[in-house]
Amino acid sequence: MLSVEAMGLKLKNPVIVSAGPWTRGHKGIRAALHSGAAAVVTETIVAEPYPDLSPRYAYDGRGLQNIRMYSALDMEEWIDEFKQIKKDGRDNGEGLIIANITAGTPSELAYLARKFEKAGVDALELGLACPMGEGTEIVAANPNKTYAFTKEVVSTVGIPVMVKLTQSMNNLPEVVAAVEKAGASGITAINTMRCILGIDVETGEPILPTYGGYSGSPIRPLGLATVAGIAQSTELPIFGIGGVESYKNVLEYIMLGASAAEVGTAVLINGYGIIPEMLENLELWMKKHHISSLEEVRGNSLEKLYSFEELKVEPQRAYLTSECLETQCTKCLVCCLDEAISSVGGKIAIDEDKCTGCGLCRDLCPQNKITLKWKKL
Amino acid sequence: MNIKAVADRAGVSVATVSRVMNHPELVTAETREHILAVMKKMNYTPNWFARNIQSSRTGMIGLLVHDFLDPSNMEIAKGVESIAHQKGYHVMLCNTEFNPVKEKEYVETLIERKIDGLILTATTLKNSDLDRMKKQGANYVLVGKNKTINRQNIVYTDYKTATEEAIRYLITMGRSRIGLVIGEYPKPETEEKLEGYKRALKEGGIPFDEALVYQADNSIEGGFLAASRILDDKVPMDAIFASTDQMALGVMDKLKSAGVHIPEDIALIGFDDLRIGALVEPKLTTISKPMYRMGLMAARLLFDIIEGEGTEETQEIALQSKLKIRKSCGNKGRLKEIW
Repeated sequence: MLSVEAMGLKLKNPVIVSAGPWTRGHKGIRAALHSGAAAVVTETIVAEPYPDLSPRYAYDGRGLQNIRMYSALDMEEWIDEFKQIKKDGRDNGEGLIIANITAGTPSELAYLARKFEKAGVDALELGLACPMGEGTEIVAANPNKTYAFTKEVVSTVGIPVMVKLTQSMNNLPEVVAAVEKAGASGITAINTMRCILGIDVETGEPILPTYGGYSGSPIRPLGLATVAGIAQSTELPIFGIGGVESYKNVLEYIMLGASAAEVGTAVLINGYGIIPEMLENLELWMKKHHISSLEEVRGNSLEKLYSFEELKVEPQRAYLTSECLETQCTKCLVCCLDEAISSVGGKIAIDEDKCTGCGLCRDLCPQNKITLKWKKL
Repeated sequence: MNIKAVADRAGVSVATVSRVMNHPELVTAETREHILAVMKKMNYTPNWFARNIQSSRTGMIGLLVHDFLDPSNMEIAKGVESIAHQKGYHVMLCNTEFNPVKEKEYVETLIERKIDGLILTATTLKNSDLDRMKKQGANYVLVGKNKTINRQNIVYTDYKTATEEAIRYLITMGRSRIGLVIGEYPKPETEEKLEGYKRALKEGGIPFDEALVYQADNSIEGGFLAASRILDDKVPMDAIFASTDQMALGVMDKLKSAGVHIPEDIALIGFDDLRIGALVEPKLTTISKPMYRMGLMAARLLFDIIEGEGTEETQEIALQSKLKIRKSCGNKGRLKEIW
């Protein structure tokens, strides 16, 4: 029921564990496959590993900054790890292994690709959009470079190649076209975003001492927008990533055109238990909506997205769904720029002639007592 | 029974088993115990002598460099050694001094002694020499490009593009009288840097001026002497690109002692990213070249060949160099490296 097909590979469900320190080595990979995920992407493997910094994470309850520079294991250790997995047999026969690799030049990347194809991975994910490290240039922001890196790998290996892109570029269709022209089999989006989580204003110290990658639920809206943009530029399968925490988020990405979704930070923060929960809820949702294949909903929300110019001005207004006698809460009163909301004798009232239907009070009301409806004529 | 059977049974690579026997401290306790248990179960005892005869390998590779003392070569050697060690091999280090006779001598001797492979850095050998090596059955990989040599297994960085980037950066910083302090060796590297220098000037609409080019010995002293000549000649310059960090440090020393302000009067840029460049004042803007990684990749290519895992076609792996912007060219507002 949950299975999807992408890049000529069969995924038993649309949930993939993304590249990160949680997928380091055979233990990390096995833990991910054990959780029931359809595939696991290794943490990013490079020719010359960097040691792990300490501290390397900062979390503010919503988003995560990490300043970890790729896997601390070297190529030879990774090849040993893959041998170990082969030897033990995959506990879960259908789980796929995808190696995430990155390098400074196309030939270096192709060398890694060849090595890991030989080591038996099922697919490769090229990290061309990592926001960490020195310099300001991200390969994935440059269509020519993206083409060169992808092309060299694609002509070196026979397994499917996914290219991981970022949100921080304004030439998305060109980059996507370059990926497609180079012969890649799929696109992953998005990577973490370059960030500084915050500053301790008493000391002036940044929370972490260098730029890092920002991940978690705050970047989900960015991921969704990017996936929607990619879905309109290519027929290649898309793997949506960024802030996936529940089955709903998986569906959001799929409804915007993704074939599957990758989960990372949520696994780091909450553990692998969230994956079976996600899968169970996804199946319940499908049953409830009488859907037998996710293909039935894939990309459906794209039709409901419009360009700004296409939007019609609809005369909707805010109305209370039931009487509100709240005296402590002033959220709707404070937010209304049209001065349409007032408290009259301890009761909230909305003046439909003043209201312009902006929608903010509806979202701010803690009791969900406000709705938008067509103006009564 | 051989080491491969043990590796297969234990589900690890031959290299890991080899490490357990040669350098157990490098293997995690868990893996080590596992492999030792498998060995015991299989009644395996390594036959050190037979091992080499069987494989007809000597467990030695040769690394030829032009100068032991050049810090770049130390990094390459470290990279090579790190992979060789993992594979259970030892590295023999030879100093060629860019002397073709000496280099050939080393190559011949090492091949006669049945060395398993060679890594030639900044080689002075010609195509014909390499062809002869091939006929003798020698496995080898080159480090550093050489225009006269083609179709070889090679690891290199593109010095031309890197130099171009550095000169272009000086031009965007408003400098136009850009001096070049350049070494003589290694020739191919020097030629590429000169070409990159000329190309960036041309692109920036600045005519090439022979009077701004100073050849010097590739050392701190060489840089110091070149800067002394520049000051004596009273050639107006607002920037100097030194083709190695060692020379740049010599230039810096002379300019500072002569009361020339860096970067206010003259901007200075080096090449190599030696550690010391980040410790001098002003911190030296430079180009980092991945020498350690070159060593890693060269050794990997070589062992691919030795272990029969190489490709039919020769492999050329380019490694990326990067402009590291510090303080010797301006950029007051920027902190440390550029972001």
